[in-house]
Formats: sequence, structure tokens, C-alpha cells
Amino acid sequence: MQVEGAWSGIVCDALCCAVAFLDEVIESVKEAKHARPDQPLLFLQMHRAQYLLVIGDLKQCKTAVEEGKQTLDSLDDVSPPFVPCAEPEASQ
Amino acid sequence: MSADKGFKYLEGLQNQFPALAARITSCADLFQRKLWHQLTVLIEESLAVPDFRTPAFLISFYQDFVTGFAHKLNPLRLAHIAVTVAEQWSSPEEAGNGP
Repeated sequence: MQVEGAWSGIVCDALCCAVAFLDEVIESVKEAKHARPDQPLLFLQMHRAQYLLVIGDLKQCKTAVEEGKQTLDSLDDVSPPFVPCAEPEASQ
Repeated sequence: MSADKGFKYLEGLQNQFPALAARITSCADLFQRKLWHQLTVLIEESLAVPDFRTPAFLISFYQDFVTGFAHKLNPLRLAHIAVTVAEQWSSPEEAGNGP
């Protein structure tokens, strides 16, 4: 998604609205105190990061993505499960 | 959200969007019976309907109805719904007409 030309100001405002909306949803999920909020919060935060990237706020986008990676690395029970490949036996 | 407020909102929405009247009635029924899972499924299915997935309808539907019971819904499925609503905020239609 590229934002160019005369549309850019209008679309950026709309994207900022989308970011603000996702911020509200993130807060409401946190306030609801679900047992396992990490996955939905990560999902919302990565979409938020995507909008920040399009807006051009690279600093906030980078922060969000890095925090998201930390969260993802800390998650267990993430589908599909990762199974490391066994080392192939040396041929004779 | 009180049940009365929810029903009044949905009633107004039916008048405003007659093409979606049947879906809105189903939402009202599930809301009244507090069948949150079934209501989630209905909303998710409705996101595929073009008339449902318009900024004019969906943003109001989420902010004025869904937020009232959002804490009752499966959070991951709520997140999917919310991301679809966020797309409406960023659609060209919501962004306004061209220069």
C-alpha cells in the first residue's frame, strides 16, 4: 500500500484514525483481563505496526515489531508447532 | 451496554440499513439470549457480506454495539473483527473523496 500525491494527506489522516482505533481495542482487551491475552494483543499490535509503516512512522513501527517479536518468542502453544528437523545420518 | 440500549440501537440500524435487516434481527436475538459465541460467529460470517462491510455501517456497528459486550467475546476472534473494522477507517471511502 503506497500513499502518494494529493491523496496522501487524506489517506494518512484515515490511517491515523485506524491506528487510534486499534489503540482503543488493544486497551479494551487489556482491561478485560482475559486469561491468555497475548495472542490477540500481538495480532492487533502487528496490524497497528503495519499502519505505522504505511504512515511512515518507522520509529514506532520498529518498536512495535521488536516488541511483537519478543512476545512471539515467549509464546508457547503457537499454531502450527515448530518441530526441529533431525540431523540426517551420514551416508556410507 | 444495557439490553434496552442495544436493542434500540439495532432497531435504528435496521431502519437505516434495510438490506441488512434480517442479519440485524439475528444479532438482536442472539444478543438478547446472551449467546456470545453464536453472535461472534454471525458477525464473522457477516463480514463477508459487502453491505455489512462498509465504513458507514461497520464502524458504527462496532463502536455503538459490539464494544458493549466485547469483553464477553473470544479475544482472538474479537481482534479479527476489530482489524476488519480498522480497515474501514483506512478505506478510501472513509478517507474522503478525491482532491
